[in-house]
Amino acid sequence: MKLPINWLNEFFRQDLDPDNVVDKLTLSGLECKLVTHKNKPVIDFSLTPNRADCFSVKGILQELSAISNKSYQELTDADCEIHHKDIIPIEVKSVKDCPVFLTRVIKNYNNKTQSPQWLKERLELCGFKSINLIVDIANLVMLETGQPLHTYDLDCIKSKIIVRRAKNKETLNILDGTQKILNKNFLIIADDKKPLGVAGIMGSLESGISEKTSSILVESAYFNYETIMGKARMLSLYSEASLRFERGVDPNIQKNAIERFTQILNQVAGGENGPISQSISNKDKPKNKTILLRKEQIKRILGITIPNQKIKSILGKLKMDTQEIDFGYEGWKVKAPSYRFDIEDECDLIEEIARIYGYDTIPETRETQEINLNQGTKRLDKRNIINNLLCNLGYSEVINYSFVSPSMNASSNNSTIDVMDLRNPLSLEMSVMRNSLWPGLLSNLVYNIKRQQKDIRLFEIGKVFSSLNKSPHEITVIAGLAYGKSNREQWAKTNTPIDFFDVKGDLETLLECFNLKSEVSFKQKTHKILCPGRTASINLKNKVIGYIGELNPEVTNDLKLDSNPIVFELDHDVLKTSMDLNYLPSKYFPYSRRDLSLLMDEEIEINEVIELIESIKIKDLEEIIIFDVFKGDKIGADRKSVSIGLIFQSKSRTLNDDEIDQSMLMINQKILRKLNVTVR
Amino acid sequence: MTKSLSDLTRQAIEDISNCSSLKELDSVRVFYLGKKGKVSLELKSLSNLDPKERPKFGKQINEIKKTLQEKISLKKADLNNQKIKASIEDAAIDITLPGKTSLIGNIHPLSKTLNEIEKIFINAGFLVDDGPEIEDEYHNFTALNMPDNHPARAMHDTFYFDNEYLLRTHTSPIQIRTMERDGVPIRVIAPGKVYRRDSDITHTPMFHQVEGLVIDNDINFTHLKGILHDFINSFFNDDMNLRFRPSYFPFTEPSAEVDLLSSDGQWLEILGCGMVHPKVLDNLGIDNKKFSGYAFGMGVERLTMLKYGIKDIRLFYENDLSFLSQFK
Repeated sequence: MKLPINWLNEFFRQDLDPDNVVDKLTLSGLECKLVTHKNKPVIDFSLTPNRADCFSVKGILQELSAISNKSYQELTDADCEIHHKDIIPIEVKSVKDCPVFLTRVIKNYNNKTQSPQWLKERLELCGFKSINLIVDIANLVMLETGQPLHTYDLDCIKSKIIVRRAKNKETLNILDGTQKILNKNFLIIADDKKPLGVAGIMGSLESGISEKTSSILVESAYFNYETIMGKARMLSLYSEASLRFERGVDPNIQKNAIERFTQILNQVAGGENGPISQSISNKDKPKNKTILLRKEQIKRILGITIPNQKIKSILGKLKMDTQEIDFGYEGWKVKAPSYRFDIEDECDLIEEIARIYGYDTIPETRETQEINLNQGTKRLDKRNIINNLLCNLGYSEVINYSFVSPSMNASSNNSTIDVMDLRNPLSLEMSVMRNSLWPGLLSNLVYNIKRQQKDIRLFEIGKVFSSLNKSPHEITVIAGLAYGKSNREQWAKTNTPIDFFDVKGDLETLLECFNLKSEVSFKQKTHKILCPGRTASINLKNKVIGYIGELNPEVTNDLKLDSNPIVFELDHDVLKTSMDLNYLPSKYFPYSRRDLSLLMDEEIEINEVIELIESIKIKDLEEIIIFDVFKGDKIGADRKSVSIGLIFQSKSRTLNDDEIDQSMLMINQKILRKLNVTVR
Repeated sequence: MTKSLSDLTRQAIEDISNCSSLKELDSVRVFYLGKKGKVSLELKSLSNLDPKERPKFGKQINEIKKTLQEKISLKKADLNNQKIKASIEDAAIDITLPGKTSLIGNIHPLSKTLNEIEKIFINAGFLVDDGPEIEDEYHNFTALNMPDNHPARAMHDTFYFDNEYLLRTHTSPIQIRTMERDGVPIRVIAPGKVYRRDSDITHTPMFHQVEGLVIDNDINFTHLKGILHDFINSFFNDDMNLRFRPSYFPFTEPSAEVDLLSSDGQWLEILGCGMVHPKVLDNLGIDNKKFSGYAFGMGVERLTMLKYGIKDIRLFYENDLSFLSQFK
C-alpha cells in the first residue's frame, strides 16, 4: 500500500517530517520506505498479514497517534440527504459468512463527469489506476477508511440481492475477461437469476459500471475473514478488496464508508440518494474476547519488568479496553478494538506492549545454560574431511537446483523408479526433482567451457529424489566430474587427458579417508549415460552404492569436448567418520619384495588375478602392487603383460628367502592352474 | 726392506695418488690389497721364508698394508670431496621457474558460510540437525501455526507435489521433527535448502536457510537479543550495530526483524526471529507454563552477499569457476 504524506498531513495540525514518520512506523512494526512519485513524498508499506487494521489512512493515523502522542482529526461521518425511497431488497442466506451487508441506490448522477484531477492524482500516488468516477471514488474511500466497496450498475440487478454460497460448477465472468468456475466454498453476491460477483474478491463483467451507467447500487459489507481467506489464491485473482477482506475489515465501519462514498459522489457529480438498506446480524459479528494479561507473564517472555503505569498507558494508546485485576498487581483484563483481528491471545498483547515500549529499549542478556559437550561435531567433521580432500585433489564445489527437466532425469538414472513431479513448476526445465547430480554437473561443465575454462573438476553434495509407493524418498549423494588434463599446463609435468583411473584413484583416496577402501569393490557394469566398457558400479559388500565411468560419447558428442568427462556418484551416508579406532602395537621387521610378470588375455580382469592370489591366504603377504600394464604388438594382439609386485612382511619376525620362495611357488601354481596366463 | 717391497710400495703410492675416480681407486685397492692383490700375495709368500725371517718380513708387509690403506682412505675422502664440489658446481638451476603445482579447488561460498554459522552455534551449545526437503503440510505449516488458507501461507509461495507433499519453504519443519524426537529442553539449529516459487534478481527458487530454536525454562526476549548480537558480531568478526523491529511470523510472538547497520549507513534486514508462539508449543504437547523459547531464521545467501559484497543472488547458482575460485 502506498500513501502520500500530504494525505496524512490533512489530519494533523502540523505537517509530518517524512523521514521521521517512516522511521517511527518502521520501528513500530510497519515495514515501510519513503519514495517520491511526481516529486511528492509517498510512504510505501509492506504490511504483514496480521496488521489488517493498517490498510488505510485511518489505520495509519491510529498507529501514528499510538506511537507518537500526536492527536489527529477524526474522519467525518455525517449522514447524507435522502432523495428517494428506492431500495433493492437484501436476502443474506448465509449470515455467518456475511454478518453486515449494506447497500444504497444512487440514481441519475451526471455520468459524463470525469474523475476530478485531485482524485486522479491522489489515486495515482497510491498506485491505483483511474478507471471511472464511480470506481475511483470507491477506491478512494477504501484507502481512506479501509472498507472495500463494490458498485453495480443498477440496471443489471433483477429484483433483489442474495448473498449465498456458490453452487458447484457455477460460473462467473470476471471484470478481467476470464471465466471462473466456483464451488460451494465461495461466497457470492447474486440476484435471483445470476451471480453478480465473488464476495470480497471481484464483481462480474456484466454488472460492472460502464459509460452508460447512470444509476448504481453501492455495497458495503463485512464478510467473515475466514470465508474469504485463500479464495483469491484459489482463483489467482488478487484484488485490493480481497487483500483487506481476508485479513479482516472492521465490522463497524460499513455505514461510515457508504456515507462517505455518497458524500463525495454527490459533491462531484450530484445524484439522488436512496436510504441505506441493510442486513445486520450483531451476534455473527466477530467479537473481541476479553484476554487475561498477566504481569508475571510479561516479565517471563520479555525478561524485563515494565511499570504498571507504562503498560496501562500503552494499552490506552492502542484503544484497548483495560480493567485492572487486583489493582494491577496481577494484571489486567483487556479487550482490543474491533479492528484488531490479530489480538487473540495474551502473547499478542505482550507483543503490543513490547513493540510500543520499543524493542530497542529491551536489553540484551546472556543465557545461563548447562554446559553440554555432547552435541558432537560429526556432521561438520565429515564434511570437512570430504571438502578438504576433494579440494586438494582439484575439485571445486558447486550447488545446483534440485529440480531439472524430465529428459535430464530420464537419461541420468539407471533405475526405473518413479520421479517426483512438481505440480506447479516454474518451467519445464525445473519441473521434476533430480534423481542424479550428473545433469547439473554436466551443465556446469558446459557453462565453464564456454567461458574458456580448461581443466575442470567439480563436485556436489546434495539430495536426489524418487518416489517409492507414492511417498517421497530422498538420499544424499556425493558426485564429481573431471574433464581436461590431469595437470594444469606447466613446464615440468607431462600432461595427459584425465582418464577413468585418475578419477577412480580420487575416489579410492576418498574411501580410504573413511576406512572403506578395502571394503569397496568396483564391478564392470552398464549405465545409460556412461560409456560401455568404461563403467563400473561401486559396491559396498553386495550393495551398489554408486557408479563411476566415462560419459557416453553419444551423450557428449554435441558438446564438442576435447575429451570425455569422467563422473562418479556415491551414496553420501556410507561415508562415516570412525569413532572406534584401535591402535595395534607393531614391531618393525624388514620386508621382502618379489616381482611377477604375467602374460594374459586382455579379457581377464586384474581383479581376478588379485582375488586368486588373496584366496591362497598367505599369512605374511602384506601388499600387492600392480606396477605395470603393457599392451603392444610385441606380445601379440588381445594380450597384455601385467607386472605385479608382492610385498612379504611379518609382524613377528624376519622372513627367510626359503619361505618366501615357497609362497611364490604356491602363487605361481595357483595362477597357472586357474587362469590362461604365462609367467614371464 | 727388500728392494722389491719398497718398489712395490712406491709404485702403489704413486698409483693411488694418480687415481682420478672412486672406481679407479677401488681397482687400485683390489690390485694391491685384494684377496689376490700384490700385497696379499707377499703375505702368502712368507711361508716360503726361513721361519726366523718371517716375523720381520711379516711386520714390514703389514705396515705397508696399513700405509696403503691410510693412503687409500685419504685419497677416497679427497675424491669424494672433489665429487661433491663438482656436483655443487653443476647444481645451479633457474629457481625462478615455477614450481610443480596441482590443481586446487575450493568449497562453494554458501558452504563456507554454512560452515561458519554452524561452528558459531556449535560453540554456543547448539545441536545441528537436518531433515527431509520434501515435507508434508503438517510439518511445514500446520504445526507452525499456519492453518489452511492462512494468509501467511501466501507469503511462502510453495511448490507442491501430488498427495499433499511439498518442498519445504523454510527449515523450521526440521526443528519440529527434532522436538518430536528429542522433546524439550532443546537447543538446535537447522541448516538446509528451502524452496519458494519465486525467481528474479533478488530471489532464486531454491535458497539456503539456517533456523534456530531454543526451548527451556526461563528463556526470554533479552536472551534472543543477546545470542543474535553475539552471532552477528562473530560472523562478521566485528562489533556490529543491530536494530530489532517488530514484525510478524505466525510461529513467533513477539516477532522481530533484525537489521544491520551497513558501513554506508543503511539498515539492512538480515534475519527474522521471535519468541515461540504458545500455540506452536501446544501443537507439540509442550507445557507452555513451564517452557518458553525463542526461534530465529536467516538467509544464507543474504549473509554471504553482505559479507563478501556480492550484489546478484543468481551468481551462487551459475557455478562459474571464476566466481567460485574467489572463495578459497
